[in-house]
Amino acid sequence: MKRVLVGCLALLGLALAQTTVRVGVLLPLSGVSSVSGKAALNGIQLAADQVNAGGKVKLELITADDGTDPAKAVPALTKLMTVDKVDIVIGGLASGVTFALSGPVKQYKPLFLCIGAASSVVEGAFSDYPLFFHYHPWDYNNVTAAMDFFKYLYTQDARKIAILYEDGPFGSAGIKTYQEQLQKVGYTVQAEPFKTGSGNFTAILTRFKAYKPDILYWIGYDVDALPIATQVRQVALAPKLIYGAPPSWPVGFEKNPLSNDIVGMSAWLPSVSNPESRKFTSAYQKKYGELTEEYMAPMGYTIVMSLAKAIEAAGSADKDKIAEALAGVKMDTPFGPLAFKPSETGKTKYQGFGASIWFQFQYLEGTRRPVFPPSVATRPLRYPGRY
Amino acid sequence: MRLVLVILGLVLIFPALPLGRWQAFTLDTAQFAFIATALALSWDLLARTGQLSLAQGAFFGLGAYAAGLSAGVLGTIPALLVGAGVAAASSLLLGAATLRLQGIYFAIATLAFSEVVRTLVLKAGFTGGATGLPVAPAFGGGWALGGYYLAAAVLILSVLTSLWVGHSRLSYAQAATRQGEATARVLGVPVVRVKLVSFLLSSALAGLAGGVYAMKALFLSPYDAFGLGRAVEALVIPIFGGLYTTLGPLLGGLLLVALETWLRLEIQDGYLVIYGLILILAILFMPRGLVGLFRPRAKPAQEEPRA
Repeated sequence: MKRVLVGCLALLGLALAQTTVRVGVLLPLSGVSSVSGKAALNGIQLAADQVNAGGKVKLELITADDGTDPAKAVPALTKLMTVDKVDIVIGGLASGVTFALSGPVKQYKPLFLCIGAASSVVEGAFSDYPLFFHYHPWDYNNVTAAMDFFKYLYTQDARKIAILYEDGPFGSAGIKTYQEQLQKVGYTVQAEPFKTGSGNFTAILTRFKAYKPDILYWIGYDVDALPIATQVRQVALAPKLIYGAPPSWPVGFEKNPLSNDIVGMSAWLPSVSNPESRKFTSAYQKKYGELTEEYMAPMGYTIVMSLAKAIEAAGSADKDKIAEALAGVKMDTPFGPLAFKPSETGKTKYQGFGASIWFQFQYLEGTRRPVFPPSVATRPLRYPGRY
Repeated sequence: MRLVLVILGLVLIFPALPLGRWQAFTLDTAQFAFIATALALSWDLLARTGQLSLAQGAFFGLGAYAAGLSAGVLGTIPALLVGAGVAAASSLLLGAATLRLQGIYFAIATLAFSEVVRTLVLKAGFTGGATGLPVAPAFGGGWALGGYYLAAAVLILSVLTSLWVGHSRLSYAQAATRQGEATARVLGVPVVRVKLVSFLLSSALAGLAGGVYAMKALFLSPYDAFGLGRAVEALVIPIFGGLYTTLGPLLGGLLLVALETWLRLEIQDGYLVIYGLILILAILFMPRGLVGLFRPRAKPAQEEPRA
């Protein structure tokens, strides 16, 4: 009887000490960004399970689908704020949708933890909003990270770059900046657009052949990866390096021998060997029975873990107190250390990660290996590659 | 007709209904539903001539971009009129070149037009190109229900235009053109002019809807504003509701958006499968759309339903 009483008192004490917070999660679970959105949701749910098991903080997640569409995202956010009465929202993956959310976010004033939305147009839209925490690097950070690699390649006598970019927003948005930056490094650049998913690149690649590029730089989608890798060989383009920049790579691409030596950029891979990454990878595999290569999964995980840390530090469910605590959070994550500081342009106050989380990997013998910068490289870059 | 007026009355008093904590959400959803319905009504105006247009997304996008670009200088209402004007002017150009085409040939020409416009907007510097275009909210964001009443106004205008056309002499010319162009010509119907006037009205309303959308979404990108999905939505709604009528697209648009929203809230992952199945079943078992349920099948000699 006494033991039961003690147990009940202990549970009551735990419940009283526990801070319960309802968190809205607004992600693209349908539409063109749904692969990243679902990966992010997996990471968020994994972290919430771990936080809730810890006992100090209880997170209640209320999930909504933004459909990668402003017409669905705006009412979904309104519902989270007015019907579900959340004070904290994790979301904002696609830039266009996040921009559309800027109006209702400023109207309802949640603590907004932004998972993606790299476009600096979004940075401008939230510049006057004090409860905006942006975790993902901005687009200019991405350019910086890629340029560091191209500067290195320049020291390896690469001089000519042929850019193959898809003609949609993804491929076209930064193309002028990239060209100018590469020319500033000293490269001569020839760029040609293509329609993603067309599958036929031989005409463009044959034109590039006369140009004899050292690097073939491809900005497009996963569906273009294999046709390009095949047709580069068909036309005997023989660049010294193929560099790809899709938002996600084809599933199982590493198993295809044609992927060998192709280089790309990522913020995270399961093979990243820091302790937090290993911890995340093993927990993810235990919960979902498989590994993920989508970096939005650890990004979602990181956001929830940092939020839980802030709630614990604030000792309150008040969003302003949590925001204040989150601003001071310093922690290790699968991407490396996280600490908030103003963005490089100074437009937003709380920027989580910068250019340093990006690294270059190379497909080598059936797997992706970090090869640049040297601080994270697990294998030396194979340059020139064999294509 | 009575049901149309009841729906419009509900649209006007909707913000005053005691919806409690669901009010803000339903008002937001309703705005996008009104815009989609207005676009569907605009598509139906041209469909009454027998032409299948896939350019409705392009007119919507042109209206959205023109209104978005001019809103900062001209203010909300003049910017929306500019949007409607740009869409109407482009339809005149497209119509003059393509309205002699029929059936699938016209559909392909309008699809090609959409691609051309999207690419031009994507490449032009002043539209924000691939980066996108931020748009100021309606009335500078100073009137909370401003966006709602703008969307309601576009819907009401589309309904009134549709009713007016349905009860005018133009409707007979449209029906004659749809049922057989050669015969209509012999009867003295100026077929190309009838199609051009229908195209003009249809595109102006689509452009107006696009402008209101831009001021609600606050951001435009070429793939969103000119998406083929929007053109498809504009034709699915009248088919679901009932072609060549006012009540059909009106009822179809409001019900389909409500159904999609409800499914997304209740089912979340995979809701599109259920939504798609419902659409397939509706098209299979309601070939005359929702309005077909209310009306007896018209005898061959009778007029086709108009409202």
